[in-house]
Amino acid sequence: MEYTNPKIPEGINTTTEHPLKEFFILTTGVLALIAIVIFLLGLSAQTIARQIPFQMELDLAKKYKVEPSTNPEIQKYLQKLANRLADAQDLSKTLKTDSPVTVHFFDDNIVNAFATLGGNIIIYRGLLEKLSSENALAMVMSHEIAHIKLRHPIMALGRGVVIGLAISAITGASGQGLTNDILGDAGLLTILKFGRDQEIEADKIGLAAVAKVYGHTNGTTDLFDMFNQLSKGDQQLPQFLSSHPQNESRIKYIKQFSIDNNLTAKGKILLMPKIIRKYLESTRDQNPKRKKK
Amino acid sequence: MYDLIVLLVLLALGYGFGQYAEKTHYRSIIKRENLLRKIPVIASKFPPMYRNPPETMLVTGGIVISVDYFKRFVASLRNLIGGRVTSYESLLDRARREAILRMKEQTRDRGGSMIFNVKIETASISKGRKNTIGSIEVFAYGTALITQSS
Repeated sequence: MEYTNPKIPEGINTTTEHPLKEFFILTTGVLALIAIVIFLLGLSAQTIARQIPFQMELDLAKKYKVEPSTNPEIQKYLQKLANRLADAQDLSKTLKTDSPVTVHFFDDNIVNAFATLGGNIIIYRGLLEKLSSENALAMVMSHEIAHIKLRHPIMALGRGVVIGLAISAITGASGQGLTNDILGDAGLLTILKFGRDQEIEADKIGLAAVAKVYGHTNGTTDLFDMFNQLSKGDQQLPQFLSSHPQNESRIKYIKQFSIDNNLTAKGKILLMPKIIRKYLESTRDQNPKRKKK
Repeated sequence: MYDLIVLLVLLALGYGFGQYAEKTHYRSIIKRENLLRKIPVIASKFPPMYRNPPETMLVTGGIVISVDYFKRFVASLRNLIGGRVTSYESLLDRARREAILRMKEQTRDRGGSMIFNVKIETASISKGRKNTIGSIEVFAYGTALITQSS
């Protein structure tokens, strides 16, 4: 008698499915899962970070030194304006600190202003040059002070650190640089990313404070109007806008907010002090590139 | 970004070469299995009863196959959620069948007619070492009956 092994059909011990199918299902599934987990982690970190006392934030920010400004006059003026607006927002009461806001003036062409850890606000000369009045400047400043009042910088930092840690945990060693970036040298004087809702919130609180200080909201939307014109003219938008709401919608909801809260839009627009206008004029002349075409 | 490009290139290479190797290997396996079907492989410890006991000898077949990057990537994703690791299933299936085929080829060359008491061992090379592409070894052995003389 002759023995033979039978022919066994294929696909019992293996799968007949295309390997790429499994690959795509797994990668999209796992990536979606990771994204959800990271998002939730970031959200909870943000909520927890908000509970950190402001004094602790100040101590943390002390580690990072800021170069003293080369323009003490402008610095002084900006600080004074910031203090008025901070008082209008009841900042020292909310944060339980005497002088929560420190303004830094950076003599640079960058069109930007931002709030960061420890109640530090950085304003660049480039932005001051674009502002037509003190009211417009006050709006920008008040907006940044509102970020500090709402604890947005520490929230952004908390979110950034936790997300960085999570990514480094997933990717292994390659992600380590990320957390170092966030905790290390990039800690204070970088632009922390705020969400759109946070920007809107800061706009509203900021506007209310400006109205309280000047008695009206006239001139506050000048900056957004100007950016609006810029964006229509197909020019490159300043950094200031990268995470901010669309200018048109921003102007719209600021106006709506004014109406809802009975803030008068009529009033005298103040110019910036002469000494500052003079300085800005002089730097503008030094930079032929920045001259109007 | 740089890491991502490297990853994608490795995946593409792993997929391309891995799938090509697997396809050609399966083609060869199926062809040779058909040729060697006449030599049965039996797991039983005892040979069939013969009036004149034939000559016996140990026959072996071993193979080492490497995992390609694509398979390993899919398997590591699979590790997160569980389930059939189909990318490794075909790899081990190929290795087992190839090992048996080599054992059968050895038997055929010695004039054997069947193999009994067949056992298969599997080992993974570079076990426990992280970030290395692993390979598997499958080793099949059994007792061949050489009945050519009778």
